[in-house]
Amino acid sequence: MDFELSKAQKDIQKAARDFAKGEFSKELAAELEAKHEFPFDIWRKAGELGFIGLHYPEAYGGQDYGSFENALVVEEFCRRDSSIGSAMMSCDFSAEIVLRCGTDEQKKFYLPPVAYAESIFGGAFTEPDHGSDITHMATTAVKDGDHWVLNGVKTFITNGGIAHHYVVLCQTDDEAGYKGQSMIMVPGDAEGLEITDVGAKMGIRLNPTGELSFKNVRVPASNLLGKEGRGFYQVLEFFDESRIEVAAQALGIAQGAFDRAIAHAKTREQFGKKIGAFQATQHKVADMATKLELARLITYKAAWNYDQGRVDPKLASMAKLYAPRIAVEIADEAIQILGGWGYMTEFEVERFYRDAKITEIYEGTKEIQKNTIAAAVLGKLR
Amino acid sequence: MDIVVCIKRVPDVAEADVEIERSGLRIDDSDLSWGMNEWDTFAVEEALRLEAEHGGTVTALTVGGEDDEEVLRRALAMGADTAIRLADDAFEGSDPLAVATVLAAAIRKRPYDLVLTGAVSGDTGSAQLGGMLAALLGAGQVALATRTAFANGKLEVQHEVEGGLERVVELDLPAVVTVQTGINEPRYVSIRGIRKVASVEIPVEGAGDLGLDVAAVGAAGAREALSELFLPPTGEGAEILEGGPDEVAEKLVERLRERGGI
Amino acid sequence: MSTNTNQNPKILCVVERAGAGLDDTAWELLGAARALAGEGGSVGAALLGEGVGELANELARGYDDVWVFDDARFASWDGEAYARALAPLAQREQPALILAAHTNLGIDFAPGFSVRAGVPLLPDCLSLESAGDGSAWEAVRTVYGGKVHARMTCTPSEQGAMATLRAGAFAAAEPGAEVTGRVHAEDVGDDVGQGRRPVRTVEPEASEVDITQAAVLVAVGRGIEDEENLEIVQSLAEALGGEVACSRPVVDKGWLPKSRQVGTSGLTVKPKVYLAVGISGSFQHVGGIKGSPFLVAINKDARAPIFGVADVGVVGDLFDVVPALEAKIREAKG
Repeated sequence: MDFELSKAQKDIQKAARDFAKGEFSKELAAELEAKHEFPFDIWRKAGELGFIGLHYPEAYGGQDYGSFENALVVEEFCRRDSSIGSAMMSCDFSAEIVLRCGTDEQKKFYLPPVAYAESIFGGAFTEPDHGSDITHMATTAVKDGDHWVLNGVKTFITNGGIAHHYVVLCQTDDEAGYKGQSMIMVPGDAEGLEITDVGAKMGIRLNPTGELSFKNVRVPASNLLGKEGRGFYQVLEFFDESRIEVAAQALGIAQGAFDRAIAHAKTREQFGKKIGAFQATQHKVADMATKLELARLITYKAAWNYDQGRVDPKLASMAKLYAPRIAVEIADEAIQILGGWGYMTEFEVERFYRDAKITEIYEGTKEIQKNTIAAAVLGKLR
Repeated sequence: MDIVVCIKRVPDVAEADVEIERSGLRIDDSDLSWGMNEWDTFAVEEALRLEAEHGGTVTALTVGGEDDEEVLRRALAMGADTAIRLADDAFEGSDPLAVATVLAAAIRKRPYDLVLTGAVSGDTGSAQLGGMLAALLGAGQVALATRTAFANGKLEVQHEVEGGLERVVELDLPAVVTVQTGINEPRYVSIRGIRKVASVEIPVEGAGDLGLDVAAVGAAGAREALSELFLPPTGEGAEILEGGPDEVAEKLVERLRERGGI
Repeated sequence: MSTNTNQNPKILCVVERAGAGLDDTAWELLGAARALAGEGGSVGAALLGEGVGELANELARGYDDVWVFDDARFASWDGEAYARALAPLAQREQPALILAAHTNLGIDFAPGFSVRAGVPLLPDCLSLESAGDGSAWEAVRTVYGGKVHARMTCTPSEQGAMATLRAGAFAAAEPGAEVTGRVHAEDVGDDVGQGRRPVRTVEPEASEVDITQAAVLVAVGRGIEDEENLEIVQSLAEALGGEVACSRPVVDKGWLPKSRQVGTSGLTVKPKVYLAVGISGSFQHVGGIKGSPFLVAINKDARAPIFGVADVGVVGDLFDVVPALEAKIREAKG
């Protein structure tokens, strides 16, 4: 048992911290949030420096590191800025499916541009009629000679409109239910693909969220990702990995909100005393610090476990349940500690709060996580 | 051009509340983050820039314990070719001259044209190392450089002098130059760079390797010693205005009016 | 050297020139040295330059001895050449203590010189006194960016000891009306000035504003965090009818030109009112503020050294205080 980061891990953490400190700013975040604009300049710089896809193998543009190191980067980025950090974290969303299920040819084609910040990814799983329930897809893909032809609608798609490639979960055998689903790669500029923005949202405004409408979209048969009929399982396996990343995102947001609350409590005075000198504040801070520590432990453990080659959906779901929950709680308490200032945009914590909330919703809501955890604990009950 | 960069690991106190340990001889650094001295990051970048333009090698040196290796790895990740940590029990308690003596011994062991180091360090801030090193090495020196350029075997250095002026001087090599902040834009450490150096074993050289007389370094040779650290009294001299932003603004306006500022 | 060497010591001060005259620190060194030398000690000055006879006489109105190195190679300051030239003087005169100023020039000169002279160096002293029954020197200096003070003890070598004094930290001695000291012309060795040659002196870039002439300055430092935030300082300066100045980090980041930098590496200003906003107050910055203006400091760090020199301080977030202040000023002005 050893809770110390390795030298390289500390170096990665520090490099991410320095980069975020130098490049992210609250003014930029506020400006991009107002314009609903992705931080393209920062994304390109992050790609040049190897912060994106560091958990891909070198042969595919990565740095041969694991989920753990990726989580450290995500945490540091989100800690510095919840919105820019979240945008950076999700710029390669679902590219891991190519990494885990793709052919060598597909990996060489899709992954290096992602790592070098030339290509953004989007995962198109959710449909208008069913959110986290993905057991049956209304979007279909039908073989037509050397091509797949896609029809249907996907919604709440992160990076919808700016992604260069989408991983689309389709029903390829309408009779076989979730065993009849497959993943098809669709380029963002495919003919017949129409993308509209789903509208204004509470947080993560630097990532567009789109609705994808497929009308006879034709892509080569070789765009099948993984095995035909395995799409549903591939999504679930991806969640074992991506939920850890969301936990790291939530952890970073929580830490960032905490940092700001502490700075405020140490400098701001009320009734002639520092806010931090009041026991009411002290008890809040103690609870926040304890929750942070627990979230970090479970997130790090889940990431480490994944890198050991052990797939543990329960642990990933626990991290994804706990870190987002405390991120929302800590951001909420941070606003409370800042009082009126906390409610003001300029003091950032309200944005951290709004950005934190999504982590309880996407990649499976907290209710879905509880289902997964309970199923693992209780087993099959009759 | 073969360049040696002397760097140091220091705690970042810019935004921290600094407390003194009970011993009175150290600050409480348990909550501080450590990293490469800010001035030294500029020195490393300047070395890498000169190397990229004119070829040669960049070697990073630091005097310190295992924890201090982090700054050498950072220099390597930024692009330095070699890094050596200078460590020995005999170096404990060294004063600035002794640190310079250790570094000079390490520099003398290898071919070098130029030694760069940060003009100041964020901890002791005494701005002595460069000048001492140069004198020990018998090399020329310039302090507080804001620009360097190499041509025809000479180094042209612009540096800060009196009255807000800067002066350009031409230096024969070998020489020691201390570097000011703002001379360049230090690069970020890349994950690629970190991976490249993750498996590098950084060699350690001690007093024996450097041929140093242990009586000349460490506490034994120190003529300068710290007897006490203390916090300066807060706001001594200044009248501190209390209250919310509007309240203090009101009071400030009064004071400014009294003093003819409005 | 035996113990008790600090009793009535012989002190050598290496003085600086500024433009055509002497730097203020030349008289601060004298003030500090006189206090340490006492009645029985002696205080000498070393002056280097070209055609500096007049200045030598001026020094001799306060110093007991003035050693003059008049040579073309010393026309502009060269820490390297100065150190080589002065080492033989120190060897011959055997001062117990050598003083210089901790300025840009002092930093270029003192460390190398101390090694050549074989003496330990106490840099950047805020105070300096004899300690250990006269067998040692004790100094207070700042460390950790001015947030902490350190009391240092220095044991002289056989050759004595050296200290550099922070500009402005020691009271200057007034020169007398008459020349009372002895002026000695010194020979300059051939090996001086090798290896380092002055090429040209660079004046700060001309700019549309001259902060050295402004009566009211609003100076901004690292605390402003981002270039875009400069706006709030600019509008405060406008409200006050003053100019915006800054400390070094702001220039390093390229947010403001060097022509707005106050400090020993920037410009020296003499305003009536000086607002230091988000400036920690390093001695390099404070060293550029002359003429005792009414100094207001706004900083969120209660331990920032700027509060040590300010007349009025506000411990708080500049992003709250500055806009509030601007509003109140505009209100007051109607």
